Amino acid sequence: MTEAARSKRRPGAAPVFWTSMALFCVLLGLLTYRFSIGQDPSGVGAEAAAPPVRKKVIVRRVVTTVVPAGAGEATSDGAAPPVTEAAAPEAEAVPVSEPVTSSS
Amino acid sequence: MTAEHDTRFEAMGSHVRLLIGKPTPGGPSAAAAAEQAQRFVAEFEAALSRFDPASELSALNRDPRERVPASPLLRQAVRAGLWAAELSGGLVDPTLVDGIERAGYATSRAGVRPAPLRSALAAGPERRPAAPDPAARWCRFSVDDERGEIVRPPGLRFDSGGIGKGLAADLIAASLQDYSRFVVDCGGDIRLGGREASPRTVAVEHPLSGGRPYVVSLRAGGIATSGLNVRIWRREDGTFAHHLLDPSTGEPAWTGLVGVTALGASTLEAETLSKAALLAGPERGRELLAARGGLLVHDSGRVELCGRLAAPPRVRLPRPVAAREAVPA
Repeated sequence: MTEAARSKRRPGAAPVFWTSMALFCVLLGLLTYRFSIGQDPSGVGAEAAAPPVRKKVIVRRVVTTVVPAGAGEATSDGAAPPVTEAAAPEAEAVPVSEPVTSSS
Repeated sequence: MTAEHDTRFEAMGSHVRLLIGKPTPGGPSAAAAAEQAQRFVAEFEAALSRFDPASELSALNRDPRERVPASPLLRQAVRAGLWAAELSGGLVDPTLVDGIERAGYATSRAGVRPAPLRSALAAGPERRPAAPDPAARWCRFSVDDERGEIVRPPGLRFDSGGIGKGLAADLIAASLQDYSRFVVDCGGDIRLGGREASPRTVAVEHPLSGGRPYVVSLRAGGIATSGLNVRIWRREDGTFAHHLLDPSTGEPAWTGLVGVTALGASTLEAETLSKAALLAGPERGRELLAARGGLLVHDSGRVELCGRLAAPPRVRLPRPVAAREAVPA
């Protein structure tokens, strides 16, 4: 390949510069637009930006058994235990108005 | 929560409390029912106290005849005592009057400061389960309702102390069935019920700590506690005694348990089961409480839940749902 042919195929510095600048500006504008409408074009944080999933509230229910009159065996829903355990052995754990079974 | 009439008074050597809800339309008010119940308790005590020489029970125990005319109330008490003895296989024996007097409980101990239970446990004899009296003297009692008599060998005395409060609670409860809800508490032996009874909590007192570590939720039925912590004393020889006797020896029972709470269809049943379980000791006591539920308090203070109370509280959780289902539409 001759020197003349090699120089003929190489573009000039100015067109390369201006073409690059134009491409940069186009891409910058596109990104700015997408950001402005709330779209992150990178895709990172898409999950975080998504509206939070509303989870169902899990309600814990302690099922206490009731001894029905005259039977003392049947339960409200089968064989649930008729007792709840208080957190600490304190008299205050129970309302004052409630009865207390004790030795007498 | 609906308002309830709350009445408290002292009787039968203990406190009595009545919580009475609304009557049926036109029925006697809760206050009137409480007054009537209070009068009944006074009559009950006057008739059945073994500490009162003028009581009908004392008269029965003194009577030299084999067949003794008795009021319906006394016949009912004797019948209840025999029922308790039968249910407990003779452990709750209503004929241990000689033994209880020999142990030092010949007069009422109401208001008397009990001996320290921890000291008594430290000094107590080797622990062993109580056993029925091989002679089963309670079997020699019978009630003749047709003639209105109690039949037994002269000299064989009856003590309603083991079942008296439970029976009283049940008899009062029978008169309160038309009220929306009620609680009858005779010295810690409790009966609940009512035509609109809803679950309510009953605290269980620990005999050693005095705390209330457990709360039982009940709508209706009986709950009772027997323990060594209240009727306990030091004898002249320095040994400790209490009111729950081993029928096989006639001496206070030291079984490894200091308190038992039992549930029952009636207070009488609950009281019988609690006493029987305490006398039977931990192993057999556990079995006695298996059907109705209850709790044992060991000498160490450890609380053991039995029967239906032993199961952990059930926690009901919704079924797991897929994330997609969780998103609201």
